[in-house]
Amino acid sequence: MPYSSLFRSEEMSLIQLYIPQETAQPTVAELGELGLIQFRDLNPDVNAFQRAFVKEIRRFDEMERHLRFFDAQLTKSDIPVRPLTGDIRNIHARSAQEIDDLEEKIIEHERRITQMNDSYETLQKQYLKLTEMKFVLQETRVFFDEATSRQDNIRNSFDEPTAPLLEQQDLEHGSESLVLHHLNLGFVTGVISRAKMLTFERILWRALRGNLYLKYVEIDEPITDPETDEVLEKNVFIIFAHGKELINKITKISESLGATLYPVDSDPNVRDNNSTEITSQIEARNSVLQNTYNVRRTELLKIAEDLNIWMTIIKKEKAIYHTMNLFNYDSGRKCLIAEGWCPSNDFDKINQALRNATDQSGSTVPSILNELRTTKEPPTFIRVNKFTVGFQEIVDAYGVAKYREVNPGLFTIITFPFLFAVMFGDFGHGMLVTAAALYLVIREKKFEKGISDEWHGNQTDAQQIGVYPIGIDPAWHGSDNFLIFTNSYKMKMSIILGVIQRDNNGELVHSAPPGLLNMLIYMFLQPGVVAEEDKLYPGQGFVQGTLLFIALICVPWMLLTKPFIMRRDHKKIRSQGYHNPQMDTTRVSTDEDNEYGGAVVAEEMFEVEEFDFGEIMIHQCIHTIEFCLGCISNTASYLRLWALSLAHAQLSSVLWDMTLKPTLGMSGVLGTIAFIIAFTLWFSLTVFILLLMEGLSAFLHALRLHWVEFNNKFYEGTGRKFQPFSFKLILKDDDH
Amino acid sequence: MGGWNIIMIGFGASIFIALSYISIPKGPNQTTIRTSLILTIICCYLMWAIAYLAQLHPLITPKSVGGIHHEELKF
Repeated sequence: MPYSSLFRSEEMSLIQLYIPQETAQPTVAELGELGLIQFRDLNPDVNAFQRAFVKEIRRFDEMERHLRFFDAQLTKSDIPVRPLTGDIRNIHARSAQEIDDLEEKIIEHERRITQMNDSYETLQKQYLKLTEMKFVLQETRVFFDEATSRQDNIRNSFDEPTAPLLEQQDLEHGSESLVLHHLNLGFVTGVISRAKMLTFERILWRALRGNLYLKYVEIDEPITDPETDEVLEKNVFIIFAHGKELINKITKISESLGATLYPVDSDPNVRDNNSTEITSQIEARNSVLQNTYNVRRTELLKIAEDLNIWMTIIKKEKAIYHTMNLFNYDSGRKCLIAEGWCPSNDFDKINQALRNATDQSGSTVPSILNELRTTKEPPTFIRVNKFTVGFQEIVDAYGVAKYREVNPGLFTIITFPFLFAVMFGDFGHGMLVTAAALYLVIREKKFEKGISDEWHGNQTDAQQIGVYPIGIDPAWHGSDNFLIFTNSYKMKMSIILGVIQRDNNGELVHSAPPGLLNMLIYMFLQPGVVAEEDKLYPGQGFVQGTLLFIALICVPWMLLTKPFIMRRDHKKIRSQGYHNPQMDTTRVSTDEDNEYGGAVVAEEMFEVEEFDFGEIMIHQCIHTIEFCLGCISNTASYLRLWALSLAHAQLSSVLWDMTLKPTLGMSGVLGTIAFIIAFTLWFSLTVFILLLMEGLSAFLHALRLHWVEFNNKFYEGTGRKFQPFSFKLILKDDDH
Repeated sequence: MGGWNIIMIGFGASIFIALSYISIPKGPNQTTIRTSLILTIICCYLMWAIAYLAQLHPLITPKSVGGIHHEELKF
C-alpha cells in the first residue's frame, strides 16, 4: 500500500456499505469516530420532515433544550461547568438503553429544578410582602403613638380647622378605635415607591380637596418590589380621611399609582400581635428560602459535573441520525445502504470499524463494504499534520486542488518562508521573529485552544533561511555607493529567483537572463551578431543567437503540440472503443441520475464523442498568449523581492541613524539618559514597524507571488475539499 | 578564489541533494521531508551563489566621502 504524500491528493474510492438495521447506530457511531468517509445524500428529493429518523432527532432536540436550560441556570447561579478534558471527548456514542436512561435522568433533573425555581419564586414574593407589612406596622405605630400623646391639646382645639383630627378620650384603655369610629374616621396604610410620593400627594389633595391627613416615612433599606422584581426605595404612608366614599377614592388612587395597601388594625394590641406573628412568619419563610436555595445549588452542582459529557453524547447522537437520514432503506432485506467517498488507502481501517460495531452490538450479520466504479470526480483529500496544515490552508485559500493534481502546498513549505526571508532580509530581526515563534511552539499545548491553525503554522515557520551565509563583504557597510551595488545585486537576484521558481514546474520556456541594457536590446535587434568591443565573453554572439532561436521555437511548440497529441489519442480510443463493446460488470450506484444499467461506461463513450478539435485549438491559443505575456509581467513581478528588501534595509538603517546613533557620541549622565530613551524608542519602533508591519508586508507579497505568479503556471484549483463525517470536526465546529 | 568555486560548491550541493534523496526512511512524511531538504539546499546554494557571483567581477568598489566610518567610532 503506497504511502500518501503531500505531492498529490489521495486516491479516493466511491464505496457502498450494506448495514443491517440492528447494527446501524453503532456502525455509524464507529465511522464517526474514524472520520474517513464523506457520505452522499441518497435521498435528495425528500424534505427534512419526511426523513426516516426525524422522530429520533426530535427526541434529541428536546434533550438538548433541557441541557441548554441547565446551562442557563448554572450561569445564573455562577456555577462553572466542568470542562471537557482530552480523554473525555472520546466518549463513544451510547447504546439505546443508555440513551433511554439518560433521557429519564435529564427529565427528572429538569422537573426538580423547575419545581424548586417556582417555589423559590413564590416564597420570595411572600417574604417581600411580609417585610413590607412589617415596615408598615413599624412606622404607623409611630404615628399612632404621636397622636395619642397630644390628647390634651386636642381637647381644646377640636373646632379649629388647623387642629389635628384625632381626638383621644381614654388612652389607657386603648380606645382609639372607639374614637375613630365615633368620628367616622378611616385610614389607609400602605407602601409606595419614593419617586411617586409627591405625585401621590398632589393627586390626593386635588381629588379630595384637602380633606385628608397624610403622613409618610421613608424606609431605610431598599426593597425588591414583589410584583415587578425591581429594587426600589419605598415609603410607608398613612392617610386619614372622613367617610367611606373618601376612603374608597383614596384606595382607588393609591392602587392606580402602584402603591401596595396593607390593612392595619386600629387597635394597638391587635397591631402588636400582628407584628410578632409577622416576624415569626418572616423567619419561617427565610429558613425555607435558604433551604430551597441550598438544595437547588446541590442539584445544580451535580448537573455541572456531567453537563458537558451529556451535551457531547447528544451532539454525537444527533449527528449519527442526521447521517443515517442520508442512507437508503432497503425494507426487503432490512438493511441500510450507504454511499460515500473514502481514501483508497483506508479500506482496512474502515473494515475494522465495521467489525467492531458488529461485535459491540452482538449481531451475527456483518456489514459489507463494496467498492464502486465511477467517472464522477472525487473530492480532494490531502493528509496534513499540524506542521503542514498551515501551508496547505494558505494554498487552499486560493483554491482547493483538483483531484490528484500536483499540490503546490508541498513546495510552499520551503519556498514561502524563503521568499518571505528574501523580502524581510534581516538576520537580527529574523532572530527576534524566530524567538517569538519558538515561544509559541514551546507553549503549544497551552495555546491549543486559542490560536487558529493558520497563525500557528506560519509562526512555526518564520525560521529564516535568507541569511547572509558567507554573504556580502562587510567592507560595503557605511560606504556611500552601497546602494548602487545592492540595488543591482538585488534586482538580478529577484529575476533569477523568479525565473527558477517558474521553471520548476516543467514548462519548456527560456527567458533571456537580464544583462546590461544594451546587450539585451541588441540581442533582439541584431540576432547572432555582437560587436567586438561589447563582447562580455567569447562566443557570446553564438550563444545569444541560439537562445533567441530556442525562444522563438517555443511559441509554436506550446501552441501546437498538445492539441495534436490529444487528437491522436482520441482517434486511438475511438478505434478501440468500437472493438470492445463489452462492459465490465460494475455495481451500479443507487444514484438516480444513472438511468441505464451499465451507464458508467456509456458515459465515457459519450464524452469521447464530443471531442472538438477546434475548441481545443482555441484553448491552446489563449493559453500560449497568456503564457508569453505572463513571462514578461510575472518576471518583473518578482522585482518586488528587491523592492521590499530595499525598503526594509533602508528603514532599519534610518531608524538606527535617527535614534541610537546620535546618542552614541554623547558622554556622561546626559549621554546615558539619552541612550536609554533612544533605546526604548528604537526597540518599540523595531517591533511595531519593522517586525510586525514589515513582516505582514513580506507575508502578503510572498503569498501573492505564490498565488499569482507560481500558481497560474499550472494550478487549476477547482476541486472540492473532502469533508468526512467525523465527530472531531463536528465538535470542533460547535466550539467556535 | 575564482569562478570555479561556484561550480565546486554547486557540485557539493548536488551531492547533498542526492544523499537526502536516498537517506530519508520510508514513512508517511517521506515526500515532505525529502522535498523540504532538497528545496532548502537549493535555496541556500542560490542565495550564496548569487551574492558570490555579484562580487566576482566587480564593476564598482566601496568609496567613502569624508565622515567617520562607523567601525572607527570610539566610546
